[in-house]
This record gives sequence, C-alpha cells and structure tokens, in this order.
Amino acid sequence: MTAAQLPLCALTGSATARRAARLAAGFAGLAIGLVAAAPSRAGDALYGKVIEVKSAEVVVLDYGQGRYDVRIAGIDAPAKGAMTGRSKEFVTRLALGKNAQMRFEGRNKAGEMVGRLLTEEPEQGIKDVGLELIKAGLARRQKNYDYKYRELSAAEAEARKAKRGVWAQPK
Amino acid sequence: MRTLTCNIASLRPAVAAVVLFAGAASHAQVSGLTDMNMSKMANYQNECAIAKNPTNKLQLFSLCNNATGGLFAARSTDGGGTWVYPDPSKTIANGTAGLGPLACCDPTLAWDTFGNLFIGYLGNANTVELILSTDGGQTFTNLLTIGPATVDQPTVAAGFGAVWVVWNQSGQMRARGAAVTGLGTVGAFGAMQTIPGTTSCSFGDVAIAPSGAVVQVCENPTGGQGPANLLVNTDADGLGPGNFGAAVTATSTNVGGFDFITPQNTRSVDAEAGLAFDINPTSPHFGRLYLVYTEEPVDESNDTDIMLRFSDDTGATWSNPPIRVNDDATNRAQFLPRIATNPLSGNIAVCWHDARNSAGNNTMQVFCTIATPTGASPTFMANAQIGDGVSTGAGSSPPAAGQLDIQFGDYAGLAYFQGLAHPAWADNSNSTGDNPNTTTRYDAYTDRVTGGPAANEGDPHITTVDGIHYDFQSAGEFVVLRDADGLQIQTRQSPVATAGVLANAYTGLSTCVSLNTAVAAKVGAHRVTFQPNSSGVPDPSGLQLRVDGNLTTLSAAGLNLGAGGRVAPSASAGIQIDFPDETTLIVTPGWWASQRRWYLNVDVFHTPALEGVMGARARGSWLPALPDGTSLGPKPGAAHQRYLDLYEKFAGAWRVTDKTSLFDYAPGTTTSTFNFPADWPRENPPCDVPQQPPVKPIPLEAAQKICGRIASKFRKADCVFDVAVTGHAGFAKTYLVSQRVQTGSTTVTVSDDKDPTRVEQAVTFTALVARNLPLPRREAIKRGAPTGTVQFVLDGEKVKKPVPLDRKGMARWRTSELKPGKHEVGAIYQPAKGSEFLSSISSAQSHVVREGK
Repeated sequence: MTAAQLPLCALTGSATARRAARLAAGFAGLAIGLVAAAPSRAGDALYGKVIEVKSAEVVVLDYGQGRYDVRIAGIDAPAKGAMTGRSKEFVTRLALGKNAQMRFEGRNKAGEMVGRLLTEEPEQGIKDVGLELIKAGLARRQKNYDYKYRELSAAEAEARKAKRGVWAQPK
Repeated sequence: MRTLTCNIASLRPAVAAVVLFAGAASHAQVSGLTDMNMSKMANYQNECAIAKNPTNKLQLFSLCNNATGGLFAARSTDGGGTWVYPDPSKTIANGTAGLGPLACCDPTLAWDTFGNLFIGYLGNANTVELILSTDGGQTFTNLLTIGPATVDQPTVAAGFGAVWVVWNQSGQMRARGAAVTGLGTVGAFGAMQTIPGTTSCSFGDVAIAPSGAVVQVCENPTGGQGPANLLVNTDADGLGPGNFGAAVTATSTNVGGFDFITPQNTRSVDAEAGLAFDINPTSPHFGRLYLVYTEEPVDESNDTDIMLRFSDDTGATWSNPPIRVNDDATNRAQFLPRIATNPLSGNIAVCWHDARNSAGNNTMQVFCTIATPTGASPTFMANAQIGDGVSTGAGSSPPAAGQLDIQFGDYAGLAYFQGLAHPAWADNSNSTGDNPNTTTRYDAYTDRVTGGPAANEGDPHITTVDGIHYDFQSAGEFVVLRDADGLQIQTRQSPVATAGVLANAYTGLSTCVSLNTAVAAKVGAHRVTFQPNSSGVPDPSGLQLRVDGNLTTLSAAGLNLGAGGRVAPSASAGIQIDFPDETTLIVTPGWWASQRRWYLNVDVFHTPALEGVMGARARGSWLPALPDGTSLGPKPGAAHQRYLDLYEKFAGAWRVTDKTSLFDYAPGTTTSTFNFPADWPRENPPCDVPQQPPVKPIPLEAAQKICGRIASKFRKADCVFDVAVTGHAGFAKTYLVSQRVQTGSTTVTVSDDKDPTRVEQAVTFTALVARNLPLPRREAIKRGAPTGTVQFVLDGEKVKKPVPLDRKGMARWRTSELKPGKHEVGAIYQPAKGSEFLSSISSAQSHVVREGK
C-alpha cells in the first residue's frame, strides 16, 4: 500500500477526535493560565515485574538486574482509615506479580523513582495503575498535577460524580 | 645594497609585539550563528528531533515534546534562518484531524532522498505512531500504528529504499521495516521482529547502511547507574527475509540507564547511544558506522564524557580504544550526545550538553565538534560552544510541586547536511529574549553550525578554519581547502624578490616571501578560475574569469552553476563564489603597478571544509593535517626542522599535480611551470628571483603608519609585514577592502511560506539578509542586523519598490497574482547609506503556481 492510499487520521470524525480537538484547541489558552499545573509527559521507561506493594503509592519493581521503589506519579492515596487498606489492596490486585512498565519522570528526594505504572497482562491489557486508582475513587489526584491531556482530572471527576471511594464519604 | 636587517634590529619591540598577539589562543573552527528560538511557546518544549531534506538543503523540520498537548512542530524553508508552523497551534499530533494521532512524546524524524519526511512518536494511547509528510512538513498522512502495548523510545531511520522503526516493547527491542520507492510511495510494513538478546535493553538508535543492512544499538540493562553494555544487532539483509542477528557488545559504559548526574539530577541520563553511517561513496571510509555514547570514566564521579567508536564491518566489531570527543580538562559533565554524518562528505558532527563552564557542574551549554573521515580514525576539531546561553535543569519543573520533572529530557536533535549542522535542544537561558516564560521553562532552540571563517591574504598569511595564523610562502599551486563533498579551492603562489625578510610569529621562520596570484575552484560540477591572462602578461584592467575553461563575463546577478553553486561579482571588485555546501569564497584583487602583477586576498566563510593549507589541524599537530589525515605532530623546537616540516613535507603534500589542477594554462605551461624557483621559499636570504628586480623594503614604523586604519590585530600585523618587506603601500588598501569584506559581507536568501500554490492563492516571500561573519551573540546584538532595502525580483524583473528591512534583517513580499507555472524569485540587498554592510544578491528561489483555485 502506498502512502497515497493510506487512510487519513483515524480520529477524523469520531467522538474521541472531536473531544481531542476541543482539548487541543484549548491548549493555547490553558498553557498560559495553567503554568503551575504543568502536566507530565515523557517516555524513557523501565520494564520489569512488580514484586512488592509497599503502599497504594509505592511499589517495588524488579527489572532483572536490580530493583526500584516506584512512587506512582500524580496520586494522593488515603494515609489512614479504612480506605488506606482498600487502596493498597486495589494496587496489589492490579499490579503484584504482574509485568509492568514504569514510565519515568524523576527521582524524588527520598530516592524513589516517580513515574506512571502500566501493567501489562494478556487478560487485562494495559492498565495505568494511578489512573485506575483515581477512577475507583481510591486516591485523589495530586494537587497541581495531571497527565498531558488531563486524564487524571477526568478520572477524578468521574469518581466524584459516581461517589466512589473517598468521594462516597461525607465531608 | 640596503637590506631590511638593520630595520628589524632597530624595531625589535614591535616585532616582539607581533609575536605575542599572534601566539594568542585561536578561535574554534566550528562556529555557530546566533541561536534561534523555534518555539517561543508558553510552558516547555524539550526532547527535540530535527531533520533536513536531502533533496532541498533549505528545508528543515523540527519536532519536540510539548508540555501541554501534541508535539511542537516547526519547519524552515530557508535553511534554518526562520521557522514557521504547519498549524497555528505550533503543534501536530494534538488530536486535530490531519495532524497525526494524539501524541505523548518521544519524537523522532528521518528524511529520505525521495523527499519523504517520516515522523515517529509515542502515541498517547500506548502506541508507536508513524506519520508521513511529502511536502516538507506542511501536511501529514498516517502511516503506521504499533500497539497498544507497553512501548517506549521509538526511533525511525530512512534511506536506501527503506524506512525502519525500532522501539522497546515489553522490555525488548522490536523493529519493522518497509520498502520506499518514491515520494509518498511506501510499501507495506513487514511483521514485527523481536531483536535477539535485547531483554532489558533500550534507549538506543537505528541506522541504515548503504547496503540496506540495518543496525540498532541499545543499552543493557535499562535500569541502574551502571556499568552497562551497549548492544548492537545487525539485520544484514535489511528488508530481506532474515532477522536481526545476535547482539554484539560494542562497548561497556559506566553510565547506566538511569544515571543521576549533577546537571540532570532528578531525571538522570542514559548513555544515549547514537549511530551514523558514512554514506558518501567517495569517502575513504564509505560504509563505516560510528557509535557515539556517554561514558563516566570514574563511576559515579559526575564527570561524564562523550566517546566515539566505529565499526568497518557493519557493527560486528568495534574500534578500541574509544575516541574522546570532548576536549575539556575539567571534571564536569558532558551528556546527551547526538551524532550525524554529512552524506555528501562523510564529515562527522557531534553535539552535546556540556557543563564544563559550570562551577557547580549543574548548568549546561550546547557544544559541537566536527571531524573529517580522512584519517584512519576521525580526529575531532576543537570543541566549540554553540548555544549562546546557559541553561539549567529546571526548565520543565512544575514549581508548585517542587519537582524538577524531566529536565532536559532524554535526548536532543541534530541534522547535518551540505555543510551545516543543525542541533536542536531544550533551552531556558532565554538568550534570544523571546521565551514567554523567560528562564522558567524550556523553549526549543536551534543554531546553524559551520566552519571557518578562513583567509589566505597578502604574502600569503593563512588563517586556517580552526583559527591558526601562519605564513605559507611556497611557490607553486596548492590545495588550500577541500571537502569530500566536492568543494575544492586552489591558489597559485608566485615568488617575490625582496631585499630583506621578517619573522613570522607562528612559525618563527624568516623565509623569502610570495604572493597569491590566481585562484581556482571546483563548484559542483564546474571549474572556475580567476587568474591573470593565460598568456602570462597580466592586464592591469582586470583578471580573467573562466568557467570550465571558457572566458566568462559576469552580469550583476552572477552565473548560476546549479545545485546552489554560483559565481557573482563581489562587493570588493573581485568575485564571490557560493558553493553548493554553503561555503562562500570572496576573492579581492589588488594591482601592484610597479611589479605589474595582480595579487589576491582569499576569504572563506561558513565552510564545512576542513582539509588543505587553510584546513584544520589534526589533534596535537602544529599545522593542518596532511591529505591522508595524518598529523605532523607538535611544533619542532629547531627552526630548520620547522622549515622542513612546512615547506618540504607539508607543502609537498598539498601541492597541485597535473591530474588535480583546476587552473587554466597557456599552451606549453602546466602546474609545474609555477613551481619556480624550486627551492622557494629559501630558508634565509638572499631572496632573489631571476629576471625580477628585488622590491625595496621600508621601515616598520612607516609600514605601521600606512596600515594604521586596519582594525583586526592579525590583519594589521600582516599588513605591516607585507608593506615593510615589499615597500608597496597598496597592500594596506587591499587589506582594508578585505576587512570590509570580512565584517560587512552579507548573504541574502529568499524563502516562500508555501510551495506550490494555486492561482490567486497568497504566498509570502521572505528575504533574509545575514552577515557572513559569525559573531558572538552579544557582539551581534551590539552591531545589529543588516539595514537597508531589498529589491525582490520575479523571473528577472524587479517587483514594485525596494522593501525596507525590519530589525531582524528581513523583508517580505506577499502576492496572490502569480501566473501558473514555475517562477524564479530573487532578492537584491542594498545596504543603508553609511552602514558597515555590503550589498549581496540572492540565488533564485523557485516557486510553482498550479492551475485552478
């Protein structure tokens, strides 16, 4: 097949495309107004297996020749109360023993590797652990932090609307 | 007979002064122009890729991570002088139809010789995306989506009838390739190959050999702070049925996959291995594969270096020991290297982030260097600071969170073609003054990196492309500059009988002297000579210009020699030759009436050429490299040995032969006719030449007075030397003209914002006038951009009135009235009255208008 025969952008006309286009159109304005909320976006990933879940926020990733404590980027899981256990259990069920990719952002002062954690299992497909936690209402989005296309905000809004997890509790 | 000896003796302090400043540090041969901010966008852009169209040296495309959506994208149609955007958002892959699937990051680019621009990146939905532009980055077509999967770090390479993409998926390197048979004609991609032995291997590169073989490199393991290995796999049959072969360890390195160094302390760096083939068929190392990477000789020392190895068997075995590319003597970091080879010459460019000037080892400037492929192994020129400003690792930091985030990112970009290297990087110095976030966020910066300037003036006094200043007084014809891309400049030197001599500060020799009397050049497929009458009797009315042996008279617009080559009248009453590889040669003649001979000052600007009498020194050599790339070694202590080095070994090596000569000769003469006297320059006086009465010297004080208006210290010293030795005051006048040429000569280029256009569709032509001499940014700002007007010319006819230049030296002409067909648009620059700049005429820019609206 030649390039000339190739289909145009697969997003054309779809709802996803329209939403993405609206998002894109808003970027220019958002960029100036939301400097403090600069979302994260980069590759440089490490692939391995999650061998321990220390908390809902921190897991241990074994990449074969070494291990890292990985802090899941952008989430703020409950530090106490019943929800703490539920959050950790959620991460354990989703990630422990699974092959996973850490999409690295930076190392924090505690020496933890901060990044997105994507599990990859044939039966589950790819799951973004942080995003799933927020979507389930088992963690809040870190203040001033979001993914590139504001996916964390959208997930948090969805959980809040559905009154899941932390959003089910009265203030 | 009066000799000059007594004059020298009485003026030792003056001579000593000449020696002192002539021995001062030289400037680097590799030089950048003023940095350009491509993005000028809010928030940050980093991890830039950049590519140059091998079918059109004026077209560039750059793509970078963008913090807030899509990928920052910019294109240039004037060789990187100005940048425009394929979309008003300055982004592509932002979710808008026709601009590619939504992007996460990690852009990669490749431009093939059909004109196909391949653009790869990580999609936002865990995919690798490949899109194609066939119009220089104006519009895009989706080509391939890989995934969804846990993918990372795609890299695309194109050429030799193929396009390849490699990436990391689920911890292993993968590859897919497709045949390419023309512009926009891309075959089906083959099935995904899993590259053997690459578990926990990533952060690498891919390159296509002239044979079609494909080589990838990756770093193993991906985690940790080192040591690690760089593994290379070769797919020997390229698109054939065979897979990649077993992994070969090209080298170990102490830089791990996530190695935290002071200037990139939260993001870390990896070895950032990069590959590039020498694909110039006439290069002595055609098919050689270069590997650049980062090493940390003392593990965890934060003193990382840029290293290079090469393979002459497509990656099976590698040179050892590695070549250290950076030449600093500090214990600070060099990181994020990028390599590119010039396909036309085989020259190798490497650029990187460099903290050598950072006391805390925590800021960086972009540095570059270049090497020729001539020697057995490449010898890099002195490193040159290219980035004008100092950047920190805080340009992608969300301040509220107090994080440094991804800092400079994991790589920077570099394109190299036809004499200009174009690095692209994340910069928060705001040296351009137009970063909307000033110094708090990165913008995407670029520069144009080239060589020179170089000069061959007066007696002849040589300024090499790497800034060494020495006298070369042989008689005969010599290759003064050449490049494997086909450029060659030769000069003829004729002896001058003198009654005395002066010492040259650099060589310490007091030999007899000579003069440049003719110049010849290879310009693309043409041979150009500028020499006295071939009869041997100089005509005071002027020198003769010949193209391919035919006597030629130039019009004001000059003569187009094709492929970007041109010969035109210079503003210095001589000629200007523009070579296809961006080199500009300006020849300024002077008439010495009493001797009835012409002499020539030869000035070269922004040349990528590194070889010849005006070429660059091999590392550790006191003179430019010999034709085979070898070094003459350090300067000998004994004067006689220096004389033998320079005038026997070096001059003999670069002397023109009957086979290599570019000159035109009268019947019965050859190049050897001009090797006379055979012992020239004599090491010591007498400096007599048969049938040539010796010229009379004048006292140094008188010469200094005559040369008093010359500003450059080197040129003034040369002038004093020439006038004192020969007694000819006219040298001062010629030096003044050359000084004007050096500082004020300009190049005007014309670009269009779209091509082709339809009938009645508006198109804007921009003329950019730039000074030929690269100046440091501060100096450039102080002296300002060229002022005056530009007269646009359409198909040879002037268009309306001249347009005043703006403060950036640009003038624009917008029209929607072009008739269907192919047009030639040019520009004539006329400097403002009293300005230091000299006029120039552009080469024609073609523009096509298609039928129909």
